Amino acid sequence: MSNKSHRIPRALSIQSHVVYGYVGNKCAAFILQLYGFDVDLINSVHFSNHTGYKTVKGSRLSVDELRNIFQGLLTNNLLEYDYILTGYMGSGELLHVVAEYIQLIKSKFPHVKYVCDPVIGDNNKLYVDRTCIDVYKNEILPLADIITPNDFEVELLIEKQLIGIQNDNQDDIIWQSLRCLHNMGPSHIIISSLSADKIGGNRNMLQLRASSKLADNQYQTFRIDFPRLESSFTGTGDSFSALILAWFHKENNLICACEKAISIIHQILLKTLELAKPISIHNTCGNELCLVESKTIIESAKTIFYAVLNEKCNS
Amino acid sequence: MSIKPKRIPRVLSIQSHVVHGFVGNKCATFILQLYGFEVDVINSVHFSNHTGYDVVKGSRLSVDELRAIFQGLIANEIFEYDYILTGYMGSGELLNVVAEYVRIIKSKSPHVKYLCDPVIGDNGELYVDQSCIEMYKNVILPLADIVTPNDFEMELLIGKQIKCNHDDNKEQLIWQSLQSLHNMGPTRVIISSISAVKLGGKETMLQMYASSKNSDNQYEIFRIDFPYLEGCFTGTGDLFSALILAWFHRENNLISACEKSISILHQVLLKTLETSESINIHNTCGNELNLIESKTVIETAEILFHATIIDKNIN
Repeated sequence: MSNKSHRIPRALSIQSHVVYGYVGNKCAAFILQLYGFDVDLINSVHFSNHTGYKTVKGSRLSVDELRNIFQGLLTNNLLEYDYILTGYMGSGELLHVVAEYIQLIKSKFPHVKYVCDPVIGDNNKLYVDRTCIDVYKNEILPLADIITPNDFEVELLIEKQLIGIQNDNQDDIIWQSLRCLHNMGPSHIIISSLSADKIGGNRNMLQLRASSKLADNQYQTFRIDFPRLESSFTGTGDSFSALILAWFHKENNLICACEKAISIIHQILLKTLELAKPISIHNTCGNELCLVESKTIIESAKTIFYAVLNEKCNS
Repeated sequence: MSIKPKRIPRVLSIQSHVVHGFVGNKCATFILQLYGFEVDVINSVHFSNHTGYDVVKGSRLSVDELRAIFQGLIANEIFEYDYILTGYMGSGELLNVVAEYVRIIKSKSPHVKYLCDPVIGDNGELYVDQSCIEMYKNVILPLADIVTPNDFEMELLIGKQIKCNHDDNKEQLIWQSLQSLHNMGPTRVIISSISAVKLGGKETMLQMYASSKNSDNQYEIFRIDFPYLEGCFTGTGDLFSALILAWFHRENNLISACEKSISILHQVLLKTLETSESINIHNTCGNELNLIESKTVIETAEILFHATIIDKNIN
């Protein structure tokens, strides 16, 4: 009896590279490799450190360089993946090339799942060029299977306000907004942290809100409540999306994936605070994650926060 | 009682980055992070895959870009390491800049150990520009603490060939070569694998020779015999130097570090042969290392091969 060998899952991750610290591909590679993924890494930038430091030195991948890399992989028959993961992409041009090749990969390998963190900005502030927004809406989201926008990014993508209207319909507004996003492509949507006080709750709590489209007009929505930690960190979003990819692969359902991802992130943050490494005075953004020291936490993967499910609903 | 936790060791690794596969920093980062090191990663190139494939696409770090990265780290005061590791560096110019900053790091932190894999070529073939050879000899080796040339590189660095048929000359010849390298700077020299055939031995065996010079100018010389495996692999040298760094840090002696490294390397090769699907037809260089699948082997770190001490206290 000859079985096709169970090769380990392959992921393509296109994110930033920092020499020092943990954001982008530094987070994704560590986490996914720990979980047994073969990760191909395209570095969209090569920076000394993340952009929250007073000085950032390095270079960005140009559109031509990105094309070249894809062409090299294609020519060598290496462009075969089970998962694709993208995060920060500085320009709409670069995103456009990414969309082109994701389309190519998906047409050759229809089983591929694309996890997209549509990094546009946060707290009403843009991190990227405006051109990205339309490319995400029109080219990227139609290809994505799972997206992990924050509340600001949701609003920019659907061009509607998500929260802030203090009334009884807050929940409905959130779920309807996610439905709009489903209609743009993705079957799975996660808003990893809404400040609970924005939606009439306790300011010490955060909420994950997520929605899985099960079939035409059938959705499973849920939330996870977890405590806010007094402190700022960088790289949490990138670590979160890598954890989602890994646990979605292992568990094959969004609810378990989110429970694991939120639980593990929280424990990493606790570990980071416990280690109390001095923050460089040149770093304006808070703690770098202590990912290497969190290896056991990541591998043990203890679930500490559980989802509260809504009734499956039809629209 | 509050005890400040000891921070994990920090390494600066300057090697190539390949999107797909395991050479250079892809090897070093995985290994060192697994062993609990904080790794700052400067990518000397950003290629689709290693240079043994039919097609290689990507770009090289320029001298200015490398300087800019170093400047960024210095400006943010995050330029502090316990170890430096270098491997493939395409040009003498780049090596020169590396030497400049290694000097700065060592002057600020005299305890820093610099492990240099002087990548020049193998089997009579050069991988790098000729300008690198003089750079290694005159500029880099004086700064290095541990150096891991293969036999071809050693011959180029000392300007003499190692080849003999008579058993009684063999170890004297090796010892002279090791001593020549010591005189160029490093207190620890490892010739990672010489085909035993070159030294009049069995075709199926390889030999690693190494030498440690202590503060009293006493030398400890030893070798490790290990079996040759049928198959070609890429990344073994990069894997080896990362293992040496990790185990030298843990064991603080070269013999244990080499026993561990050679043993683990061998088990990684065995695992690679066991788990490999067919070799990509565009890859002319044999197997990519299956590092991810070898995680347990790397962590378990079983010693299979022991050192044979050759001589002590030769002046």
